[in-house]
Amino acid sequence: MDKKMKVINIGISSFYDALAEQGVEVAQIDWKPPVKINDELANKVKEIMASDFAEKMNKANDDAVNMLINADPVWVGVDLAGNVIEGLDDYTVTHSGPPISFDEMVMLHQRGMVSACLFEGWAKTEEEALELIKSGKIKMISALDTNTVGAGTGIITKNVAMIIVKDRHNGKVTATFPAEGIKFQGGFCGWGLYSKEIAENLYYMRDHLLPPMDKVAKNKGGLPLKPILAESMQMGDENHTRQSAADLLFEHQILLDMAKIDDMPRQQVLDSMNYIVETPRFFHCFGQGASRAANLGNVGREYSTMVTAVCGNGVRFGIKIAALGDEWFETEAPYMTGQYTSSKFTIDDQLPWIGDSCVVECAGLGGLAAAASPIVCNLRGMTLKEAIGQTREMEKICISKNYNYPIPNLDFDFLPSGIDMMKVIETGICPCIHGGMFNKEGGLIGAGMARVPMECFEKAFKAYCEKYGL
Amino acid sequence: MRKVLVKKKRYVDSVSLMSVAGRVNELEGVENSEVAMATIINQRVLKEEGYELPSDITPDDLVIAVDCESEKRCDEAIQAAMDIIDRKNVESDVEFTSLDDAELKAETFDLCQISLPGEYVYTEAIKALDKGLDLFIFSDNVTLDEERKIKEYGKKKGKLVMGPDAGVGLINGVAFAAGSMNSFGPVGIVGASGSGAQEVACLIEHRGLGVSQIIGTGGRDLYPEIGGITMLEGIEALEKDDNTKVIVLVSKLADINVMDKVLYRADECKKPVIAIFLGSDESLFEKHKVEAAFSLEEAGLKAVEKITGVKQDPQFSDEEIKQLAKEEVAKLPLERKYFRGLYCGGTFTEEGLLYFSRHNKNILLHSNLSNKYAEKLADSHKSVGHTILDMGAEDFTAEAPHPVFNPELRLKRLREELKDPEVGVVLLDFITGPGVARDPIGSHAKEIKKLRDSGLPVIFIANICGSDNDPQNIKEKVKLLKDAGVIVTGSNYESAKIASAMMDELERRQVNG
Repeated sequence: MDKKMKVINIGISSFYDALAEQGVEVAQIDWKPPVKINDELANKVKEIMASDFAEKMNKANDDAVNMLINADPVWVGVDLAGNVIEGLDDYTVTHSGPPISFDEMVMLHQRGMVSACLFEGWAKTEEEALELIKSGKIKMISALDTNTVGAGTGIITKNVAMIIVKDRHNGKVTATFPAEGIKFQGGFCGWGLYSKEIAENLYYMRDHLLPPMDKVAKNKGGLPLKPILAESMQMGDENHTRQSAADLLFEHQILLDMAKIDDMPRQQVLDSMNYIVETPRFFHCFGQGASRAANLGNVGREYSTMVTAVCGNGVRFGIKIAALGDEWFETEAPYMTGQYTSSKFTIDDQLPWIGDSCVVECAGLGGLAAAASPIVCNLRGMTLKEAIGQTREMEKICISKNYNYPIPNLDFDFLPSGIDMMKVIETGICPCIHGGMFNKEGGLIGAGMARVPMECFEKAFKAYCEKYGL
Repeated sequence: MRKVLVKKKRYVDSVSLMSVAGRVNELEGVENSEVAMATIINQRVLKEEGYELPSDITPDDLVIAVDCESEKRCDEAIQAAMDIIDRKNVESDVEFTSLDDAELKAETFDLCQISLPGEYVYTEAIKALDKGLDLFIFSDNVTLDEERKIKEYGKKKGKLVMGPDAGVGLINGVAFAAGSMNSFGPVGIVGASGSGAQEVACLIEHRGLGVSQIIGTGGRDLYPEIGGITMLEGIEALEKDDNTKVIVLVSKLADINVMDKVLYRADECKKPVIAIFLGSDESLFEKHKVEAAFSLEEAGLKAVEKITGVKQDPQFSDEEIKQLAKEEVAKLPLERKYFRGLYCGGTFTEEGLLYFSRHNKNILLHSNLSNKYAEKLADSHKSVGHTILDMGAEDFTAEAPHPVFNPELRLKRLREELKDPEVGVVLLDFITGPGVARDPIGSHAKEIKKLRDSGLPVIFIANICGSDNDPQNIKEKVKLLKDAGVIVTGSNYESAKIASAMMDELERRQVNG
């Protein structure tokens, strides 16, 4: 009786409150159910890791992750999608997520396809556009089957102006779509809305806003993006949901150069500068371009079990594994958990995962970098400690750490990089991906997190074993 | 109604703000709320939602807009939003993610309380024992095999394992799970029935004494597969405990061999032991020296007598009960002829059923429980004739929280029962403590008072199993019940005695017309 009790409570939090109310020194454990492991596959992974084959695999994975770590992405300019994106010819439209037929598509994608036909002038009316699409004349390709990224709905055609990023380390070039400015947060390239004004804005961006940017990029001989990414990660960005620091660093790099442009109309340059400054998360497309370019260098890398793409189309979710090239491994798209922008939204408004922007997770940003951005995790009610926990958990399924990203909250330990399919299966831990929540009717309604579904990895692992006779 | 508060020039990061409205929306009486910086876009959204904004609002201002059922709720919601933004009432307690968390230093703690889903208990329990912690396991649905392994491992490590399925415990003055904060005193209790053990403790407290420890063994400790490991360990612990002068063992009727084993151990105890196995008869005790009790009340009163040497009587004498039943029932209209016992304590239901089946032999009882004392109801949601319900049983808790933790379920049933014009007598039990519903009694008392004031002729009987130290403030609540015209008894057993006498009266009236 003399001794004061010290109690640990695991479970019901009101029991914690009851003990605290009695003046007991009590610690609450925020317990989570242990991850479920597919024992059969996990044992198979262990078997492979213990075999001679592992040497080839580890070597390939080292090379793959080094492709991420040594990446040297540079913003080289602005160009038309058709000039840069491979296969984006006339009557071709990209979309986000794994390949899908028009009939299966969610409404946002279907509407995007129609909008694309109108935008390019392939059809005069919606009816004509629908007829054209149904006739099979429109080629629909997955953005991640070529050298672009389908952020949001990922609807892109050849006449859309894009941000061009080149990875000087592996020579790959990508084109990503720049955000459409504050008045057009909902253009068909991003969030699946379409109107005459939005289409006109796309031309306005191409002809008016983006040329001064292109000029600056060319004048500078390209703007290296790695320093911006690295520094912003130390300033609270994880570079998927948040680019607050990266935006500033980027603007710091280019605004003065823009002001110095003397062979373009003054108003055009000012409009362009205004567009860059006003658009929230402007840097997002640069981060995506950089991430995608680095990963393009790994597509088809023999023996490597590294994940090169994760994305959803609102119906299915798919991943790609380096050694398995452009083959997709799919399952039902997950819902995101997080915060809505307005409390009037609920899960009923939400579309299952749509978009390719988690290319950034494939390069070690976003969900893997939670520790760098506790403010983003706080959206989901997480504490600093839990944000660090998320990154530490992701370490368990990554090939290596990326010394370009020493993080203050990790006591300057490095962020993990290179998601390894083998480790995912062995540990049962699925990658955390951050992202935006979409309204079924179009538009962005929140931000949050999801886990890449295990089924994708199980399917990919089986295909890998088959390919290499394991 | 809608209300808007604008904080001029107050900047809050939009990401931080995103979660505020969601939390405010969870408050009672809040239809909708928006908490945002008044950017041009947000101003538009707010206006679209029907909020009126002051004309001098600028994007530098923070706006809190709420839509609530009343002005008072609006003010509360706005205050709540500001509190969240200003980080008031934020516990800075560090949260830990596992027992292995290095910063936790689990080894420096004394006891680990576990209330996880059953399938996860074993792993955590073994981990806790390895860290040198005693265990209190509230969870049910742990397999018997795992329960035995946990208890055997605990014994090997010299650690006490209370539960799984332990509802009540009082260790070194700390109440666990649904337990009460009983005053300290000379009686030690080992209970395989949580509410049973608490009832004994509260009876002792109300007679001016207190308890040294309440060791809850969990409901299945006396199963043959477990063999009473914790009860035997508990007797051992209390025998060694200097503060304990008398030991009370409380259980429902269990496996005969295990009960015998426990009683043999108790016979050898250096301290006086009183035992109750609810539902047993005297033959169980024939070979044993242990003092037998046959109701929870008797067990508690005998323990007090052992310490004080003074004979203890129940609150009401048998004669008083008979008189009370007669007088009260006489006031009821003739068509009100049935009794409804709405229990939330499992052991209390059983003690009631046991009493009625023994004392109202020719009355047909109905219950949601399947046992030999009563006919099983075809539908637990529909009472028939005299019905006795255990509202903590799975047929109810599968749909809603256990009534000990949330009174709603039983309140709803009470309202339904009182719509039945044949209901004459209603019995309620209450359980208090820091870990259970904040105001189980007040909510019922309010409901009853309202109905009685409207002239409803129904008799209410209630007892409170709780300590005066509990946060529910039971002294005040007894007064509330009495004000509402409820007969407040001294124990569950006494409630059953009164109900039983009333049932007899109700039946007699029907026979006599």
